[in-house]
Amino acid sequence: MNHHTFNAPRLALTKLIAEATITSFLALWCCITPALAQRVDARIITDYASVSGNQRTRIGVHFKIEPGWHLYWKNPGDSGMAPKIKWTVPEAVKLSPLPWPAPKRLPVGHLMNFGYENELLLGEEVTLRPGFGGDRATISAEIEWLVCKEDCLPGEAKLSADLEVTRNREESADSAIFERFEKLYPVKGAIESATFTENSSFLELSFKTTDNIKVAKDLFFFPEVPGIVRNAAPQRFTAGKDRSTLRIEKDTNAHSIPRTFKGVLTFDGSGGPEAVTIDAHAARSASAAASLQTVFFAQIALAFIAGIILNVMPCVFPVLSIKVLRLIEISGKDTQLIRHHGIMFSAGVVVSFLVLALILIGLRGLGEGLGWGFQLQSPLFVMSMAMFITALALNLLGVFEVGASVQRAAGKIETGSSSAGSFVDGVLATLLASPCSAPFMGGAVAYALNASSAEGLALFAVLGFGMAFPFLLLSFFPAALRLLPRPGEWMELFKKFMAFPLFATIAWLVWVFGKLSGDNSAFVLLLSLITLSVGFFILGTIGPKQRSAKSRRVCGVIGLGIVLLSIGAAASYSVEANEPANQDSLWREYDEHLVNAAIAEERPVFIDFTAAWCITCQVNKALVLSDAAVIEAFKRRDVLLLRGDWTRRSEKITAALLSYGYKSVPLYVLHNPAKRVPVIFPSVLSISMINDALGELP
Amino acid sequence: MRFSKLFTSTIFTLALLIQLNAPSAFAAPKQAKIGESAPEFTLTDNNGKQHRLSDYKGKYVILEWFNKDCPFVKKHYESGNMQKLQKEAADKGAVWFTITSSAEGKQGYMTNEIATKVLADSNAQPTAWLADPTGEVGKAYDARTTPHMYVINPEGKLVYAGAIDDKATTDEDDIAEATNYVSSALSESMAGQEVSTASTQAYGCSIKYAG
Repeated sequence: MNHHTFNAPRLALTKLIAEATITSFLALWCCITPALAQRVDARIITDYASVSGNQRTRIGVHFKIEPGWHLYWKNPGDSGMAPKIKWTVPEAVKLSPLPWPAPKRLPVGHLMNFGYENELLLGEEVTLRPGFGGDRATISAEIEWLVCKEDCLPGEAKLSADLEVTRNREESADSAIFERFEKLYPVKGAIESATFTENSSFLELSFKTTDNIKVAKDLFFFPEVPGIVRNAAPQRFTAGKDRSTLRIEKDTNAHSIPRTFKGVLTFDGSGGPEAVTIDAHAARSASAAASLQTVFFAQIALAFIAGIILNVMPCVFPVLSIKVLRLIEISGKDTQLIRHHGIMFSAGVVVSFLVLALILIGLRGLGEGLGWGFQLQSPLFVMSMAMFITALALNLLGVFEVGASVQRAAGKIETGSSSAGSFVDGVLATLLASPCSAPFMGGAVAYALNASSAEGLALFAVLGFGMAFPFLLLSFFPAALRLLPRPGEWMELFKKFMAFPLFATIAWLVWVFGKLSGDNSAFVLLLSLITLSVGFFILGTIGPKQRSAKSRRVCGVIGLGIVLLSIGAAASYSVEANEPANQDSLWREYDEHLVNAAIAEERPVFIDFTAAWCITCQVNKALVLSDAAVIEAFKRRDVLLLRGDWTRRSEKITAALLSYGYKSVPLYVLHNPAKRVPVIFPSVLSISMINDALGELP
Repeated sequence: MRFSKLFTSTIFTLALLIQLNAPSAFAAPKQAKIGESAPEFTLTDNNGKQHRLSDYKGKYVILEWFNKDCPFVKKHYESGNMQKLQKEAADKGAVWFTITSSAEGKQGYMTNEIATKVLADSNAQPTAWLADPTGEVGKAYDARTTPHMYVINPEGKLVYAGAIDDKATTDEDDIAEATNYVSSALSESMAGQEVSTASTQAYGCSIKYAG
């Protein structure tokens, strides 16, 4: 049997240990004993050649590491092993460990290691206890390490050093190494009142903001204990006025966190790279100023404001204002009834939002690559909305009236015998709001989706409540309605005028549709909308003017036929999907291979993850990314420009977003060859942000 | 001109108001999680036979990530520890897959011929050795090191993920005193108990994934 594969390196290792041992025997008098090892050269060094009763001497193992190879920190990250040193000292000699120097991030593909390149010193402080006799102290070390590049090699050595016991202090040539490493020790106590909070997917460190922290860049927290955080995930830093937070993604199978979560925080401070220790205590009280709870409540408040803003969106405002007009009509009547309508309408809105949230959460459970705005990735949905809103606009203009039965129902509402109508109005308003809300709520809703389901539902409910709130307020204080003019002809004019915001919404939907299904389909949709209008005109305007019942019926049939035909034609085209052309020749379509190839040849890469229905993306594109100076800067630095289009659902883009730790657009990423971690921009770009980041390129 | 600017800046302000403060949506990729269904896979063994995880429902399945040149893997094979564990699992009726996610051209990558020889030479006894050169399965399980061990119960749920034992070294002498997490997870789970240590930090060499 051939054991070749497994045995050969083992023999080499045995030889190596033997050599190391022999070398240390030969060098009896010398305090420096080099160990022979591949890729790593380990020596035992001291800062002084002697030790005495009241003076400390430092001893350590100095590893010289071949370029490209690395040793590990005490938490090695996703793989690897920290060096181990077992010290042996004579009786009455005391050792106290020196700190580990601040580690560096060493990415390995999609994983992350923590460790050291070039050199490492792991040391101890030597002191003599009163009882020590003898004139010499021999200190020996059994060392084990693992050195890795792509491959890993284990190494071991037994080294020893003799220290003379005398008061004569003679500095050794190696003391400079100790001085050098002393600067790399994480500073203790520089970070005050650190606390942490956690939920199912995140851990958030919070600490006092200092002047240095305020200007800090590229912050990274290295936890001492492995298995808690996702080592390769980007960490999100927010500097607040009093306290700053660092949000860290947890490992999928995270171990429980010790009561004191310890680690090292590294960053680029005002004076270059810095490292500080952090001992964070679990935050229990409200004193954890920027805890996750606070973030959650901030989100709740924000969702409420977002909901209120939805009222003035072009697709919601007309519907709501007409609802208000109805309120004016009945404002003289029973205030109890008005309140009842307000409550029912609010319930309709909130329930619809909750249903939407449940659909989203359910689809997420099925592993669909969805983010908010997913509805707008469906051409059929966009087409339906365009048709529906066209019909609504025509209705407001008085081209046609809703059917008799529907009117009866509406009549009932006004007479107060049914409040179901107000509930339905709420549902309708939510449905209409959805194309307008999507582009604005990417961030907030993505938060809701990534929080626990309960938190997500709460956020959606608040969003809905925010949207219903102004109407609810009016219904509770109908006196405010008196500020509006008396009911009269102006209401009819106002109603007609409200068709125009709806037309604006249609324009936008047609544009999104064009992005989804191609320009030809957009044209067909426009034609269909026109024939749809003609159909409604025949049905609702020409028909009722006919004297004979027969002609009225003929008009009805022709009108309805045209309406249905228009819907059919648009629907058939909406299914056809043409690849949207990338008109901008400067930008290439996102492809992971292009990114990797560019990184390999040290070419910077800028990626714009965008979608046609994302307004923030379009604003950024128009105001920043299309700016002549920005384009010039990109060209000058030979930045590879990639665009990931998420207008339609794409596994590839969803996966790419996830690989940066995001689940929604916009996302802007710059791969700087001089930095290990890609630069992620805030979702609202500015020209100076781009210029600053480009300025850091090598 | 002025109006369009006003319009754009209004939109911009609204977008800013709503999105600026929103925490970005970090999301953990869907990965093997303790207590949840183990990700499905179909991989080919060194004899060209396909193995699908769900075909082994009803049995315990152990996954072992393997790289023949990794010192941590050698520790467990040269000492006979891994073979012993494989035999123990087989005796208990469990299925054992040894998986290599090294990409072609990277350390530990094996053709079918080499894999056959390595298995025979080391006297390894897995149910099958499976090639995962694209790393797809390795990434689905969030496998990071060799060895990295997983135990899947007969319902297809992941009950253990992590290190083989509690001595993260390359020294064979440590095996005798080590607590073997895989062995205890298997015994506890088979006895109908909750696995007491269901997740640990795997130790070893990084997996030499493609890219």
